Amino acid sequence: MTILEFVGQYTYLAAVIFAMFRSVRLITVRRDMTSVFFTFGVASLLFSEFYWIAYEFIRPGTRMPFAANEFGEWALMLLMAETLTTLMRGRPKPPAIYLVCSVLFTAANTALWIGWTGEWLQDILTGIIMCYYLYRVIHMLYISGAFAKYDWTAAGIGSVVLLSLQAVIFFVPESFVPPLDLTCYVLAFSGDCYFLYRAFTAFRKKAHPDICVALSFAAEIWAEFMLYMSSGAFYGAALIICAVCLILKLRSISMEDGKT
Amino acid sequence: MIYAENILLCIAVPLLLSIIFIKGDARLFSASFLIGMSVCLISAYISGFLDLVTGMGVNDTSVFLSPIVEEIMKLLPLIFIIVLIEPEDKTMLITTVGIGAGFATFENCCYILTFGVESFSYVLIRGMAVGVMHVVSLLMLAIGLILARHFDVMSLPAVMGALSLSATFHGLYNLLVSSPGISSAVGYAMPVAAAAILYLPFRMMSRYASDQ
Repeated sequence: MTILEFVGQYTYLAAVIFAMFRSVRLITVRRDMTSVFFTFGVASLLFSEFYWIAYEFIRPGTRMPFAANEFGEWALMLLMAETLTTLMRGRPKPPAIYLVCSVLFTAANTALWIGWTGEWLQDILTGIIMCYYLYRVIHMLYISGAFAKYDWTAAGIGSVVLLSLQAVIFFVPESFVPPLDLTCYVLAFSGDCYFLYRAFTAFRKKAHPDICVALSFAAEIWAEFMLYMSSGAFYGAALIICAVCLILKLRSISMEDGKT
Repeated sequence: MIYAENILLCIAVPLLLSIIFIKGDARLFSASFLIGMSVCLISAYISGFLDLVTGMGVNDTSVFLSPIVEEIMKLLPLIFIIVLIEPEDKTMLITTVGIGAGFATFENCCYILTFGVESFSYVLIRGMAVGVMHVVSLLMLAIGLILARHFDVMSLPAVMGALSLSATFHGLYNLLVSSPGISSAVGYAMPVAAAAILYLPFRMMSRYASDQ
């Protein structure tokens, strides 16, 4: 385990514990569906994190087989998607192309995960759940108007380039892998930094809560995809970004008026 | 050789008979206890099957897969009861504790009859750890479901959320006790600590249920 991985793991754990306490308080104050789903999600994440840490302690350096924490991660994604759903009731649906793009993006990612790990069933199930969550985030971005046309275009082109480069890595000679890998990391991290920049700007300018929610969730789901494609120090860095995104999500949810 | 089915029969018959003579909450608890024992037996069949199919080995299957199987199996009767009779919270809590206690009792009986007893202190530790763990993990699940029902958010994600809490807790316990040393000490202490933490929301929920 690298130092950055270690720091990332415990920063994320601290962020999850903080979010857990704050979201429980949110339920008692607001008593609405949004905060209940969000708190349930954070609780699943907390248990999943404990499981990871215990596993690293007991069986260091070995790959974890299909285990109970996988359930926690699936539940986290479903519950976060449901948190967004409670904010979108009665709002217009995006055109079908957004759904198609979500499916294609997740399918391509799932194919890469299978290529890396060989865990077919686990990766396909994770992919299906991630696809649902991604669609909800895209739906929120669409109805809140957080993304302008050039944002959608940039996100689309960036995703295609990133996934193509990752796929190319499987077929090129060994000597080409490190520079290509580095390019992928730079692209992925730049994308998330952009999402974070947009989210921070929205908070600073006191934008509509829906916009803050959409951008924080978008930054978080991009960071989730990054987690799945990273290893070593990059994984640690992605975990730190996830910790920041979780706090942003909590703050954006607290800004909503809880009228659900 | 002692078959698990024989142990189930021995414990189930007197309980079945007692159900005829008792009423109210006591009958509900005894019936749930029986369901818990049956669920334990079916879970053992499924875990055995998964061990053969995946080739993970008995130890890894019990550490990684059994918690998922057992928690899903314990969830099924609860979901069945919620969907079919929409019970009050009090009924649901009694059923939950009964299923958890039945599951833990049957598992402990089979374990001790199969592997024998190392020492009296080991029996006490096992009783306090496994026995409490099954009740606590199911209580977590039930409190999650009751909360979801109260906030009118009973849906697949909510059930999945509640299930993930109990499955991860159970999985964490199995993982910690699978390795000797400090991790097993933490693992054995975890259920009792969780029971102490859960006692407060459980009391609050029971009081709330009585007021309904």
